[in-house]
Amino acid sequence: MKTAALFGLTGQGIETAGEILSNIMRSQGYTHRAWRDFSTIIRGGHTAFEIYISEKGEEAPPPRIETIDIAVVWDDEGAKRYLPRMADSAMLFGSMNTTMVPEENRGETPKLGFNVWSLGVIAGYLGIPFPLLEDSINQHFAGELNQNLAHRGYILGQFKNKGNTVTNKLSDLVTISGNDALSLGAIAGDVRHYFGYPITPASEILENLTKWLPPLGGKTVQVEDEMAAIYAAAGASYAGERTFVASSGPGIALMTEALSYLGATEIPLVIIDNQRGGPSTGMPTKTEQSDLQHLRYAGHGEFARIILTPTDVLDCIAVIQEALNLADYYQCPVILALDLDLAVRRVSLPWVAVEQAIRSVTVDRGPTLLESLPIEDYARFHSVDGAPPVRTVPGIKGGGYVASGDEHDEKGFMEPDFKVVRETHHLRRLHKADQIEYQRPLSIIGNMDAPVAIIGTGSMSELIENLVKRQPEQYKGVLLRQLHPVPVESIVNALSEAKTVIVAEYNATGQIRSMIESALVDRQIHSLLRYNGEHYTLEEFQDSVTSILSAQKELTRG
Amino acid sequence: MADTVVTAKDYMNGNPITWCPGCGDFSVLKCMHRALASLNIQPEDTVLVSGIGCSGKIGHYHGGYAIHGTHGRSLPIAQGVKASRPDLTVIAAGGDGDGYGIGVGHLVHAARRNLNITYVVMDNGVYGNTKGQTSPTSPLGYQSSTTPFGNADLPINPLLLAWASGASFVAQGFSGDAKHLENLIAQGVQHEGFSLINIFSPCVVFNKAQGYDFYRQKINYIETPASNAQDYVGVITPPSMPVGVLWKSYQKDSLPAKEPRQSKAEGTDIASYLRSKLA
Ligand SMILES: Cc1ncc(C[n+]2csc(CCOP(=O)(O)OP(=O)(O)O)c2C)c(N)n1
Ligand code: SF4
Ligand SMILES: [Mg+2]
Repeated sequence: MKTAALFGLTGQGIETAGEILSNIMRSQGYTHRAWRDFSTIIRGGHTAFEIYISEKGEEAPPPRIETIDIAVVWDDEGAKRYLPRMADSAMLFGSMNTTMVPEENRGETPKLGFNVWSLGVIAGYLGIPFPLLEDSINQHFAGELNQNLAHRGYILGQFKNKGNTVTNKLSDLVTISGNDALSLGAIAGDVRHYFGYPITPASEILENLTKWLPPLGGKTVQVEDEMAAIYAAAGASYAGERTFVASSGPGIALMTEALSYLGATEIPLVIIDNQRGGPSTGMPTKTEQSDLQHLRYAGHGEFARIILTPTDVLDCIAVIQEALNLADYYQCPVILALDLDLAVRRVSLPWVAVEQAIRSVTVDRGPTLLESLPIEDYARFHSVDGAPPVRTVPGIKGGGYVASGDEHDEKGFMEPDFKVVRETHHLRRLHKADQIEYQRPLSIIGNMDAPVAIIGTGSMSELIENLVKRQPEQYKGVLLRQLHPVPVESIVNALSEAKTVIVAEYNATGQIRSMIESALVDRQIHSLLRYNGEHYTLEEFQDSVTSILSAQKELTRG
Repeated sequence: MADTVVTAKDYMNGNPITWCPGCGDFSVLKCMHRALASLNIQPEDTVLVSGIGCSGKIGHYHGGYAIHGTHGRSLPIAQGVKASRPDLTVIAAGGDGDGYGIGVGHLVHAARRNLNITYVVMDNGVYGNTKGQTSPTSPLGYQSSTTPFGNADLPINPLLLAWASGASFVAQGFSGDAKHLENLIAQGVQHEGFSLINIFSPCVVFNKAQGYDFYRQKINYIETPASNAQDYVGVITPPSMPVGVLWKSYQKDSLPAKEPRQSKAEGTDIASYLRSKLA
């Protein structure tokens, strides 16, 4: 594994350089994961790009890693940031502006051009064949000046190259983000229409679908606000077309009125919340898992809902398809809760894995009737033995009904005898998803008999997974995918042999822990909480887990 | 899909109507059904999306497909139906509070987006359903429980607002003239784009000052739509209360369907399509 970092000013094209590096590694068949200091890109000031590259032949991209093998920085701000993270401080490179970078690692580079020079340094160090770099640079930045800068950087980097080489592994990789994965899965799940309003970190979905849907006869509409988005989606879903909405905290707040409406009318809809730091506008470019309690309880009145939390980029592809099926079957809101890091993280991985995820779920419209009506005197909300009622779509003769947010009878008509419908219709609608048939409520990572179980989801999952890989005799992971209804039995079974349980989450109040409390009774539970918006590196995560455990030991000893 | 000849009766669903006797909305419901029948559109190919209010209950009396939404949101829902199912005839309907108060933002965008939907507003100048509070179209000086000393906010002029937002069809009708109203709605449905039909539809319980006689005396019939901005603004400026088609222009639907819808079921290999989109 090799890790590299690039640090400079916004406007210096750090992001583009990172993308070029990622593209080269992808083209050579090296799976990897990229991370960028996204906030500074928006705010102005400094910006950073990090890449964690697998060894030859590794299929799964690495998680976010603390130890940096090579870093190239524009100024001492960057040196300060990366020196503590360097495996070897002799691998810190920089421009002539720096004083903290070893002298022989400094190079002449103009402010605009630093990115190309740095790219050269990293390529030289990693052993990327120069012609490959030359080609990629040519595609993005024309001119001899750039080639010269890249070459000068390359020579400098090569100087410290102790036998690293990049050779073409001839495997077909693709680079995708969590948002890309959701877009792919949605299309595979037969979504052809999408209504959206821009917000970080969910805009990418609207942008992707705007490119990808039209050739399939679909379309996107950028609507005036999130209320319009969710109501338009409700209209499309009522009309029988699969769709979903995606937003982040502020937009989800606006969608909350409609959540209750969907609950009342039993119009299926998938709703994605790419959670960012809150409250309010909060930290728009930072990761957090702090909307979960909102998602669980949002909306006036009482109604059924399902909440799923994908565990990584590939998982997003399958989970959104499963969610679309669940929504059609249970006819209730199905919420997907991601967090910013998972939504925007870019990973490069084999296409076959992506394809497998795309094909892993088949479209199942449940009790939706898309053609003709086999029954007479149709009643939209009539259920046989509590089974989900048959749902018609416009165009079907004899299937007409009103979907009403006003309490209604089995036909859909408002002003019914409330005493009757609240005991029948309302209770069926309320409890229909108390238990759901879902095959993948969680994933267990590692050995059942490891003493410490770490529970988490979303962006936390990659850390849990890799910590287990490092210390399999000590840890096992429980990656939650079904958050509501709580899969009590699955969690209890997963934890059956654990002596200690840690619930790791990105919020300050332990939301996941309290949501799954009913599955954690009579257990020694610890919370690992972070709410500064920064995704852990694997090492930071490991240290935090260790200190929780040693504090526990102190306690039991004392 | 005109396989059988339809009549207004085919549009009834047998649900007993609970508007107050004399309410203007009865006429709107009937005229809408007659207009649809006159165009021989099958009930199952229509979706009526209504808001909240007395007027919003109209969805419950429609024998085709209907969505009774939330307060102010009928237009986004209707646009969602139409954008995804262009084959359907989509009508949004609601009150003045619903459309010009809580939901007014959506009106602006629906007008400029110009999807082929018809928006029918039952304007009674009052919040009927919540028992008579002042509405965005209540006149200056209007006294109600929420403006006991008289309404001081200028009333919204929906004809001007929709037009300024780019509406390609603007009409005004009156519940008290059913024949005329039926024709307006039929024209609105036939218009290929967004059409607003504002209807003076008296609330006989809470706004007695603006009843049938009031409108009969005040309205003036307009035979041909204005052909330029100046004429249009002239025609709709109070105290004129014009009824008829007031503005009609042709603009392209901003969302033309380009390709036929393709799905896995139709044999497209979605996975290879998606691969072609990725770097
Ligand atoms: C979000 C929300 N706010 C307030 C209400 C209460 N409410 C119901 S109907 C209505 C006003 C309806 O007035 P209008 O749209 O003019 O319809 P009318 O009853 O006059 O036909 C209000 C304020 C509501 N249902 N939802
Ligand atoms: S209160 Fe007014 S608007 Fe409502 S039904 Fe009665 S007459 Fe019609
Ligand atoms: Mg009103």
